Amino acid sequence: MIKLSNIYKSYGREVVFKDYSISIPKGQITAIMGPSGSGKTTLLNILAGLIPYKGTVEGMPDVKAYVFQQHNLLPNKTLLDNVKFAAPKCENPEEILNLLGLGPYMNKYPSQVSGGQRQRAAVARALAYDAGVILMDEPFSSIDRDLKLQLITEIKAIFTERNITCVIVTHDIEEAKLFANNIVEL
Amino acid sequence: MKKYLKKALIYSLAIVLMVVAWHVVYKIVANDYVVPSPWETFSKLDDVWNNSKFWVAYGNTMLRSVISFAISFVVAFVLAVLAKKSNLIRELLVPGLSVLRSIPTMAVVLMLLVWLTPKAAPIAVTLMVILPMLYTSILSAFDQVDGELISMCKVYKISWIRRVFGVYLPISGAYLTAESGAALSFSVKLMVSAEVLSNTYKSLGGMISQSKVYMDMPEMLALTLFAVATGMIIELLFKLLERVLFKWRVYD
Repeated sequence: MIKLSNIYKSYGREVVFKDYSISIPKGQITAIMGPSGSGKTTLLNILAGLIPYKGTVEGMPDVKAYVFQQHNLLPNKTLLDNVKFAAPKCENPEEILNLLGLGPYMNKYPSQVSGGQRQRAAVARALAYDAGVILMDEPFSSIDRDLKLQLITEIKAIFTERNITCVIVTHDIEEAKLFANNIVEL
Repeated sequence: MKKYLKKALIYSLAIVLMVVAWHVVYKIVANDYVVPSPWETFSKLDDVWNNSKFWVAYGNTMLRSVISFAISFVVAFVLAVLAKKSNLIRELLVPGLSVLRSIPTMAVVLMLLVWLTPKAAPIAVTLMVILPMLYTSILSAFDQVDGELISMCKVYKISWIRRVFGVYLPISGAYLTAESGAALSFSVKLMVSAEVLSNTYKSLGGMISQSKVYMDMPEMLALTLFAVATGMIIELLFKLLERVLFKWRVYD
């Protein structure tokens, strides 16, 4: 279990979390849902250790991966080099890219592939990093519906097979139901 | 290819128009000591080109320019990396660099001439002017790197060295290459000015200074044209370098 207890976070005078507590089961996919401005990304950033906060976070592994909303792939590196850059210890980055259907595109730059392929590459990078937890911030928001459903099915299968702990933030109920084992509303 | 040919034709036309304007001014002024004829200057260019003393002087000036540029670049790069890493260092550097930026170049040359030799003074003055310029360029290039990419680096625990060489430098590299080209070209111009003031022996600036003593206006202009051409060639070479080094930007 990953346990967040008595979390307090504010931006200036705007309080996002006050005495907020939540438990996230390991080895499962948990979706955090809520409307815009409810603090979904803030919660993910707290788990990632990207922003300061008050309170305690227990059970969060030191090695974690993050699939950002805008993929955040380096534009100067090919998909394969992006994976290698973030996960230099990974012995089979090509295999992981193949697993996500990116075999023919691994030597292309992010700008040469579609939005869906970029998101797959970001997921491949997270998988290659061999993290204890994968955090995902609305990773399918900029992808059209058909592709989104296909990606969700493929990625969920990989995560389930590998018993990966994943926390995904979304405002799309359909996405949350299809992808996650548990849903938490903010 | 057609586009390049069109550009080359336009540039050639611009040069022809400038020479025509020069000739018109020469005719109006009608005084060789004030405005020499373009044809006499071009003939002087040929004399200078075939003079081995000129090449020694030119080589010395270029070497000094490259040395001051290289030192400035390394120091500015290290300072920019440190400033990016620590806000305290960034703030500490502000007053010193502002002073360097505001010092009148000519006054510094004259002061440095008292402390240094005529060969070293132009290097020091070029360094002092180029350093804050390069520091600002490098730091603003680093600042322009998307914060989201830096968040990615933090999550994936990418070390500072790998961030500098794998993220900051390649992403801001194209802009930095162009800025470096402009800075090197500017160092040549500054170096020549400093050499003129210092009357540096066996240098392009020293030769210009000598031409002034003998009122040899065509030679002065010919030497100046060499300095101008050098600056333009440097900027062109850096533009080519940018295209070769940052091929990925074509797809971006």
